[in-house]
Parts: sequence; structure tokens; C-alpha cells
Amino acid sequence: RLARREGETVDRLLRLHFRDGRTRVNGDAQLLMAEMLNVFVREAAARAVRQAKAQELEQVDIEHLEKVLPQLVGGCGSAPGLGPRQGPPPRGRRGGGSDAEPPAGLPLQLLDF
Amino acid sequence: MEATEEERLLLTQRLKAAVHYTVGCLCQDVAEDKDVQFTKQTIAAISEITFRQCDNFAKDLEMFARHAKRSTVTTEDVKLLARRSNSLLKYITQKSEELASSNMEQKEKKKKKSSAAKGGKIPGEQEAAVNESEDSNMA
Repeated sequence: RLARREGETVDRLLRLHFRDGRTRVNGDAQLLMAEMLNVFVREAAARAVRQAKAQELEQVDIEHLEKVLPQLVGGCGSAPGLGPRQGPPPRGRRGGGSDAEPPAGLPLQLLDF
Repeated sequence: MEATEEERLLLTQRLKAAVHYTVGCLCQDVAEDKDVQFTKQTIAAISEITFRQCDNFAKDLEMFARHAKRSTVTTEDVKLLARRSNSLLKYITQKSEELASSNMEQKEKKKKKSSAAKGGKIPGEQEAAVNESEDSNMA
């Protein structure tokens, strides 16, 4: 399930943003990060779906994504463009969850990014 | 240097395209599962957000590794990143354990091969102990 090729892409993705040119990512960490990103995407998609369905719509639009963004990326640095800014990235202050709790009783509730 | 700037831009574009492709696939899965459709803009937006999220992740991972006086990011750093949510941490820790045990299996296979050739002893148990204690720190 964890593909080697995905690991390489993840490696390049992360290294693009490292401040130090010497920083590397070991193989297992690459695969784990690939998994993390997959979860992130699935959560974003699933939560947007919930928003759309709450409006009894079958088409998931940007507005649905916008509504779920703050909870998805809240407390994790700035939400890019779409959602309200959360302020400067809180270094090392993650707490036991994100600032806002997602609505309870939902099937796919893996994350509080 | 201009060439490096251009290279970086090309690399960024390639990576964004790779992310976009994967995001498209994942959204397709979710769409089928939930019986909905995603607009192209929505998929593009998720893709953009994911790409930018990598920036946050990368900076954190780098800091965690540096804090541990390492220049290589390990699974320990990724687990730290995942601690923001209990269910996420549990999920990632589980995946990490699956990885560790599959690595052990591969090592066992290799060592059995080479020990069959050399006739020496296999220090497999030592490896297992190291992996287990590594994971129990974050559990």
C-alpha cells in the first residue's frame, strides 16, 4: 500500500521546503509522510463532502471546502488563500488537538490538523 | 544563479503536478464512495492546500530532527508531527509499526540467507529489541 515511488515524490516535496540543504528524509519516514499526506487529502475531501451533503447537494464545490479548511489546518500555520489566517505558525505548541473540534458523530474523523 | 531559480521553478511545477494527480485519484475514491462529484476547482484547491501544507510539515520535521541533533528526518519526527490529534497519532504509529515489522522480516530473510552461506549466528533479536523500544517511546 505504501508505494516506493510515492516516497520519492514525498522526499522531493519536503526537501523543497527544508531550510538546510543538508537535511534528508530516511526511507521509512518518506513512506510514513506519504501516508500522512494521503490521510490529509482524504480528510479534506471527506469533510467537504459532508458540507455539500448538509446542503443536500451532490456536487462538492469550493465553498464547501472553504468552510472546512479552518478546522483542517487550524493551528498549523497559515491556511493558504481560501480560509481565514490563523496567525503565525505556533512553534511547538500543538496542544491536544486543534483549536476547533470537528462536529462529533461523523464517520471519518481521523484528524484535527 | 538564474539557472538554479529556473530549475527550482520547474521542480516545483513538476511536484505540484504530481500532487495534483494523486489528489485527483484520492478525490475520485472519495467521490465514488460517497456518491458525489468534485468540481475541478475543488480538486485543484485541495491540491494547492496539500502542497502548501508540505511547507509547514517540512519546516517542523526539520526542526524536530535538528532538535535531536540529526540531519536526517526519521519516523520519530513524523510521529511528533502527528501528535496533534490522538486518532491521527494512533494511525501513524500503527503504520510505523507495520513498516518496522516488514523491515524486520526483510532483514531476517537476508540474514538467514547470508548465515546459511557463512554458517554464523543471526543477531536478529537485538534488532527487534531496538525497533520495539523505538516505537514504545511514542506510543
